[in-house]
Amino acid sequence: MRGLPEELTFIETITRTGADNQPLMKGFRPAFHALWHLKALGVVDDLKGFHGAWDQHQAGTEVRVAVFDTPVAYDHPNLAGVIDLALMRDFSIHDDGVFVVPTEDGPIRRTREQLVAVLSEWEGSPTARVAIENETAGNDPRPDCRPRYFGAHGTAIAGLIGARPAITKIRRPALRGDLDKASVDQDVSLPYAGVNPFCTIVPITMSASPDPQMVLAALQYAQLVKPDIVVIAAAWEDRRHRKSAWNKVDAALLALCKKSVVLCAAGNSGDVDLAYPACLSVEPGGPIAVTACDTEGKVLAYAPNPVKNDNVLRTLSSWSEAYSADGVTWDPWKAIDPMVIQPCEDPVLKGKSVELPAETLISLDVPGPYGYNPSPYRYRPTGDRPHFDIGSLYCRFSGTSASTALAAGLIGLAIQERRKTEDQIKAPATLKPGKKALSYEEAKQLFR
Amino acid sequence: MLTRFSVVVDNASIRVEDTRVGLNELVKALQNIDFLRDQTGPAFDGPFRDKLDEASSLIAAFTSLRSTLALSVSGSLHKGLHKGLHKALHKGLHKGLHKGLHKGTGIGAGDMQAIGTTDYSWPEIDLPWKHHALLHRCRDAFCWDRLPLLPPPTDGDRLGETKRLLVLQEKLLAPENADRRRRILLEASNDLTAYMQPLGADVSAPYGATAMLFQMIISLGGAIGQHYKARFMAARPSVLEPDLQPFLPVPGHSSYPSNHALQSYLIAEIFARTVPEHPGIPALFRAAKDVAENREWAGLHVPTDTTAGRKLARMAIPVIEAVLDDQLAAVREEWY
Repeated sequence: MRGLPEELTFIETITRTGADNQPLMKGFRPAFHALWHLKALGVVDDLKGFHGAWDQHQAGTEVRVAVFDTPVAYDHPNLAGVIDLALMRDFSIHDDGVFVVPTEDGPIRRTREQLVAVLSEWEGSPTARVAIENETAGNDPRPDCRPRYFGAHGTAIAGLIGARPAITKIRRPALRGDLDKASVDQDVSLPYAGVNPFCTIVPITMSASPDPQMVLAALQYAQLVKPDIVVIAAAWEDRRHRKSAWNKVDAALLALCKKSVVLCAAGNSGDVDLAYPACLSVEPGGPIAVTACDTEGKVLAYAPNPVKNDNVLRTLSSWSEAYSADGVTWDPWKAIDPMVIQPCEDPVLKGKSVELPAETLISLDVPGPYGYNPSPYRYRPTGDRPHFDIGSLYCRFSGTSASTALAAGLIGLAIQERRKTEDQIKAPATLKPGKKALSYEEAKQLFR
Repeated sequence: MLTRFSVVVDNASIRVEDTRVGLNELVKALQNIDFLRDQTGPAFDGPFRDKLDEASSLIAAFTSLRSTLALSVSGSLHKGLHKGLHKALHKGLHKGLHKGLHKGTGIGAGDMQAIGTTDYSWPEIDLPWKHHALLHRCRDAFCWDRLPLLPPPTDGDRLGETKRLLVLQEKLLAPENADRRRRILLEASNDLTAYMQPLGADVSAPYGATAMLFQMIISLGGAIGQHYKARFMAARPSVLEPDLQPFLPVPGHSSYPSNHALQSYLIAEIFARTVPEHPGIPALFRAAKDVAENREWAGLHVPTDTTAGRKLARMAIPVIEAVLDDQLAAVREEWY
């Protein structure tokens, strides 16, 4: 159209870069493989045959990972068989906790009876112990009050660690008109996998409330569950507001560190200081803090980079934009505002401009109209009910939380590799707990 | 002069008891205070000046009770327009009109600014009747009226807790607690400032769906709390300890659990589960704690009321999430 100012003609123009024929700066992103990070991390050698570390797996060596987070969507198709339905326990509603899945005859009751058998080791409150016993026997006097809505964060963490490929049903809509057809349910494959698709995950869920009593109860429960790896991708309390009420929590976490490899997300503040409880990594025998880096190992803008703490791992995560006097990292595919100087043209930051890659981490999302990437349908697919869409099953994910989940997957694979002696596999009870199978020093060595 | 001073202080104390005050009266009172502040001499130093400061801060607090102002200034025309606009018009347009209406009054924007108006206007809602109906239809499915909340301590133990309230009552009158007094008055209504500020809401981005969610939680959470209050019928602290002089009028319902604690922690819990990445969540929980504890400062609740409200909030999460399903989706869309 003639006479239009340049800003308006710009949005009608498709600019292409020479090399890849890709429209430039129009919000039109290149596609990428949803599991690109598995190759970047060296888990698989290729993204077609998925050969690599998984080929080495030997049944019987699988690790148990406890995830302290928001309630995990355990009915996500890619988490089938991954989530330990019997041990998954929620502390966000009751201080004493509640099993998310009611006790029923079969494997769930058997697993819980094994748990009750070791309650002599219980160090928590007597009422919490009674609650576990009552629930296992199926006579919990408390009203049925368990979390029915799941958290996107915990689901994404579980997905990055241990999702497995799955097949699910999707409902195709009916076709009206001349080609009148009823709706049909079709099988569809969901070829997504976490770093360690052999592990089992025990979600131990909490609310975001900075409540030391709740966190302590959850940690005491984790000791009973005896996980090989513990993932804590949360800040339990603002570091500046942490008071003596948290001392018991610190002690319980350090006790857990004696038997399990405990990984804590460093936080996303971009600060040099770590979030709580990751800051306990400076304590002798404390947890490992995990911060986020790019594919080159460079710490990302939002991730803490403590210089004097060598108990910090760096693992891959998604990038984010940053614009400061130190330089600019920017998203070249973001729709641009032609009225504003673009970051790459900043006259002061010449030579300090970095373009972000297109790839971001993809993980699992709560199915249906929930989570980071909600379905447009007001319908919640549960159990065997078909899905209406696939998109809502997956989402982008980032932060040091994502790094911590990937680190847990990698360390799990390493522990499983260590356990591959024939004697141990024949007698699962002799499997070395995570911490003994792989020392902290060895775990950290994996990320050098 | 002393007579005028006494009038000013009386005016201020009237405002504590009766929130239906007209702006003209406030402005007049403020003019009196300003006049007195300009005076010097022994009669105006020390306790007198402290009283003046206190009266001034009380008036400032009242002027930020925006709905009262709106009614007294522009009456039913404004109210009708306000409600219609909420539903019909774009947020930005609404905001502009909202401000315009306030500015167009006889008092003028300058006066309002001068007496400490915060200039926040969070969306208001009528009774969320559909959600209340759903809540009651969910009663047996979620057992929200019989959650395992521990009954209150004995009256003797609760009387023991009032000792702390007597200390707080004394401290509340200190000049350095002027801001707490202001907040207590604000939080007596359903004002959302305490919850919205930690989230980074500002005048251009008031996060309407989030504000609506919070109002709904206040309404539904309040209804849940009333079931427990009606069951336990725990006496208010001022009944147990007559030396307590509550800073606010004592509500007509019983004390245990604290509904302010229940509502404010429910807001924090539900928001944290809906937008778990929000960096303001720790501050939101601190704000919830502050709102809950301010009711202790005001002499309306003992600490065990507050703790019970917090515990009940966690237990009520499942039913609130179910009843407000659609609103949670709108909030997710607003932030992600």
